[in-house]
Amino acid sequence: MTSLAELNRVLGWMQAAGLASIELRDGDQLLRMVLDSAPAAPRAAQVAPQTQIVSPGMGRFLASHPRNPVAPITPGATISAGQIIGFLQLGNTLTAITSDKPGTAVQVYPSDGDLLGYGAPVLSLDQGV
Amino acid sequence: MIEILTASALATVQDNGRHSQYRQGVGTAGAMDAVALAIGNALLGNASDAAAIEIPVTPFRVRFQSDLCFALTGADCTAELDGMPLPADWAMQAKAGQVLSLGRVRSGCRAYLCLQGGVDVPVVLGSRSTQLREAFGGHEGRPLRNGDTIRAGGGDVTLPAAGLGALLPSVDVPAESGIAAAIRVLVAAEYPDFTPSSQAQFWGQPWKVTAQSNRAGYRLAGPQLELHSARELRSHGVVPGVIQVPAGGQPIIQLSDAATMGGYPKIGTVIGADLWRLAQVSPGEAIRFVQVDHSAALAAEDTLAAHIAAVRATAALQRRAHQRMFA
Amino acid sequence: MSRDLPEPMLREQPEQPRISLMGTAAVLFEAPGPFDLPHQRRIWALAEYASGLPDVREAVPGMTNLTLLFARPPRNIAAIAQSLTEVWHSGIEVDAEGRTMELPIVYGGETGPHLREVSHATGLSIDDVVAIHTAPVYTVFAVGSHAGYCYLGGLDPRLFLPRRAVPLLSIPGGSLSIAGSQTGVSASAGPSGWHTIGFTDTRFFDLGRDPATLLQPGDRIHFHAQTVIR
Repeated sequence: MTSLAELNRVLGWMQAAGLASIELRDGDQLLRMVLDSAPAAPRAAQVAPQTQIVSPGMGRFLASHPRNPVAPITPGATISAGQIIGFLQLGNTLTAITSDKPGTAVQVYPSDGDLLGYGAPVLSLDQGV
Repeated sequence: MIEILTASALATVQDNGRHSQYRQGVGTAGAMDAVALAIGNALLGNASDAAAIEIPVTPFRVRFQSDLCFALTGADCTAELDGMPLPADWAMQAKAGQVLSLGRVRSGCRAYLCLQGGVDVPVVLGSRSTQLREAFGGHEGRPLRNGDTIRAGGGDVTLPAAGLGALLPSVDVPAESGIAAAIRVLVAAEYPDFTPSSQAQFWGQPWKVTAQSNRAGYRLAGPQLELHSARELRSHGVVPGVIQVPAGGQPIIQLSDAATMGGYPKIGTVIGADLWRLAQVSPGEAIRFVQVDHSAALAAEDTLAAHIAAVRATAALQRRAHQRMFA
Repeated sequence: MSRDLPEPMLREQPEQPRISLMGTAAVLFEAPGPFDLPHQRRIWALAEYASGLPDVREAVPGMTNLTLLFARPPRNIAAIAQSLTEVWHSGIEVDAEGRTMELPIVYGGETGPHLREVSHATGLSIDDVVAIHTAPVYTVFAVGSHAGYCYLGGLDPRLFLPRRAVPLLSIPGGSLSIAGSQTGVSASAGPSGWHTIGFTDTRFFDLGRDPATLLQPGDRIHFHAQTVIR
């Protein structure tokens, strides 16, 4: 999935955003990168019982669109496929973070205003019907 | 190409306006909210003079007849694409057959539908804006009707799958409950001719935008403004933003479709950087005027221009990054 | 807020032009002196000069005044004001050679709804109002307000009246109106604060023509009464 050049680029983003660690999941593979401490031992691949919606890019997490504040997603909330669960602000632009699957919200990780890196967890979703 | 399914009143094609025709008595026309137009064009990577559809009233529905990227800016109209809610100030790709519908207005007064490559109508006297009075320009010189089809300029645009949005400029004026917007004004030639109490009332009292307000001007209701003595002015060129006070004492803010000449006393001019904010104030709402000096007015324009340039640059980056990821 | 003259304006003195801002991208130059053809010829000359100033998109003559429209807001208003004033004081004028057009008018009736009011307000009979209005050859001083509309100089002072206190929302194209010291014919339907006394079906703006406007500053019009409806 990732080349060394791409890993270096992610490291650069982490440093720029002040992130200490980042976890990237790709299917059943997990890559964790940690800055400035001893490298963690690689962990065995895990199959997550829940779906994680991760940040599609770099930016500041916004729980609502600035022009339309809504109540934040709380554990137990029903999430539909395609629903916007937050926004990512980069400069003066916004991209949307959407849930590609339906389910029940378990946990929202970032707070409004947090800096996120590519792949940072945003929402864990229980897909059980 | 899009087909208009439901056209509310007075939806017209507008661009940044028609310039260099004042000596023929042809005013600028153009988008009342130039910032919404600029942001929509920036999200799509359109040329900054690309035309869009200005939609002052909802409901409004269009069907996309081909795959097309679009942006919907200005008023937040609880818009939906095939039933899927869209955020405000948002660009998306639509697929052929999808329907975009604008519904209840949450905030603002007029929305702008920008299309990939711009709305493609003939240029008349240097612009694609609709000149309503003489019925030329835009789409056949008239507001849009059900069944109209509008072509887009096309071109190559890639957007993130969930869309791309932009933040509006923040404005350094006080917010106040009951006041839709505090509008910055530079005094004009006849300001000193108004009585001191009228001057104080102009700045101190709220002004209601009456129902007799449209693209030609906003007629305001409030205290009756008075001059020291009546002065019959000679007709002179005026521009959008000029606030005239006819003998009835109620100000009229000249706007995009205003006459190119006027002869009523001018108490002030809305600064260029605030015309877009005024355009999003609806009849029935109240505004307040705030006095600024020339350098503050220039600074406000510089700040606004910088914001739009930044949106344009970052949007281009976002589109390129997204394109690379999926190349 | 300052009690002095607001900052963007030069102090008003008799016999000096009055220069003011309309926002940041428009400058208004108002000439001192009477509203007459020699002064307007100097405005036309000033317009030619000002068209060449940096960032000036258009120099738009009004009635012994000039509005400069800028593509970018000028930073040094004082310098612009000074150069306009100097050119004005040089007295240079343009005598634009124009044509004279005969224009038939239906005075009064439904399409001249204010003829009777004008008669009352001036103390003149309707016939006298028409005779006085059709006597001069008027010069097109300026074009503006709406497409093709010509501001005419030469109205007899006996017909001078203030503008209406509340502008009318719409009068039809072809309407002949007076207000202040001015008279003109509208080229399309629209709002007006003037007194409408007559009507013509001549088209003053036509996109099929190049230029689309029928008359330019310097052209002349003579009205004659085709019909008078009392």
